[in-house]
Amino acid sequence: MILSAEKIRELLKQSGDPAERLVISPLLEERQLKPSTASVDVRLGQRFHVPLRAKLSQLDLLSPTHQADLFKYKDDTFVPIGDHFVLHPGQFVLGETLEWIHLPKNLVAFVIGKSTWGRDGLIIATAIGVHPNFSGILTLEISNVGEIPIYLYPGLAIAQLFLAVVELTAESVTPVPSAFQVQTSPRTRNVEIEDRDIIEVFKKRLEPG
Amino acid sequence: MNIPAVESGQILIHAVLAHELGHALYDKEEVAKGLLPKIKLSEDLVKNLAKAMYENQLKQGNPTPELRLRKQVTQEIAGRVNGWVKELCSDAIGIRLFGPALFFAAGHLLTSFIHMDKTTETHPPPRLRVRLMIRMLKQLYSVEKWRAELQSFSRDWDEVSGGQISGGNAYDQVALETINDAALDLIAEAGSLATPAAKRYTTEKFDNDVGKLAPFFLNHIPPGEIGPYGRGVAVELASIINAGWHVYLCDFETFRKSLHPKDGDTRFTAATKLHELVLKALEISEMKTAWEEARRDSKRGKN
Repeated sequence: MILSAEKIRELLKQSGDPAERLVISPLLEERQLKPSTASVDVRLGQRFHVPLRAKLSQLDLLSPTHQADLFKYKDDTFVPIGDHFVLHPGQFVLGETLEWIHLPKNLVAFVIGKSTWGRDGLIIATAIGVHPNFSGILTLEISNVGEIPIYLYPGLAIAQLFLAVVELTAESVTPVPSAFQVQTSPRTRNVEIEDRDIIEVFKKRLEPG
Repeated sequence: MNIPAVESGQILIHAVLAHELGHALYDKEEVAKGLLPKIKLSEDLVKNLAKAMYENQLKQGNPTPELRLRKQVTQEIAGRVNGWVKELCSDAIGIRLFGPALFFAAGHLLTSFIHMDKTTETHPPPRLRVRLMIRMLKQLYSVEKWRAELQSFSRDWDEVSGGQISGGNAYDQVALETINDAALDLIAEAGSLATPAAKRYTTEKFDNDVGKLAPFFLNHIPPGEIGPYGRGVAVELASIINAGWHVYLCDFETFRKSLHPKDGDTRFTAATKLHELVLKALEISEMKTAWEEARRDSKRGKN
């Protein structure tokens, strides 16, 4: 069940055990929750992780040097509020939400672009799901699929967060924290690629001889 | 106080900057004018030292006149006392501004980088500075109600600070005898008076921060704003830093175990995560305050 703005407001007002609370902080304006909608607006943060195309010929998730390659490939940029980041057509950067998001164990979230930006050709997230118990800033995978450059202003509402209740059962356990937990800036992570070994077997089978 | 480059990423250590704020207030409030005349140099100590130096020079056959020597000794010692009192009073103001966090940060830096009894003409031995800080904490905070880990930390430093200050030259020794316990109390009092009442970090604030803010860190939430939706307010910098220190000193293993295995792998990686959370809390607090100021200015038509 997707939560209404009113329900989200009610949850944000709750006090008590921090682990059980929904936290979206800082919430700078009450209008981030508009009556009769079903989401809360989140703002663009100040840090960007910018790809350096000239540094690398390709990214290969299965490569043993993948993590080291990512360090070569990305550069960090900080844009203060009031300044802007120019996103050129076809460019892809990692950005962040200004807000820290903490979800209790019974909520899941989906971060989705706002139509005002989308109509200018801005895509703000491709991996949109945020799992229960998540705590951190959200990394936004931002790209400009439009025809002309777009100015990105940190501090402006750039996305909306939809929240839904997760049906728990008696078997539901507190999950191990994810590799993206407690993330304070947009980051790629050296996540263990599941099924890497199996794909490697297939790769070997395709090798001649 | 200087933060070594190797420690610069550890935001909790930056609590020592309260000492630098203390310097600014010491100058602005002209604390020296009222304080220094109350800290009297012992004429006997000056006279005795000058006499000993004269006799020593006499043995070597080329003595400076005793009166000139006495003037030189007075200047040397007064220079030290003035400089040391300034540093100590800046610590006292820092304690009033940041509370125990300054003491925890100073303790961390002192154990790592500075010899406890090292003196210079401008800076007192760290042991004396710790002595003042502990003295103030005992007077201003319910230290006896603190968690056992904090009490143990403070007790250890109390023992260290009570030790004899060795080393230094004869001028340093007279300066040390001048800045005795009574002088430390005068310095603490002057530091308190120089700190604006609204900016003082109190024992009530510390207890509140430990009880209400520290659990947020343990649940991976940076407590930069507090209060329910629509009524959230920015948390003060001193509160964030003190809550962070409390987690670091009392609940670090719990925090470490709660992290992803890669982040909690070593004490260093876990501490880095805690420092990142503290920094994020400071950012959120700053953003909340700056945004509200900008909103007010935009309503007034200011740019």
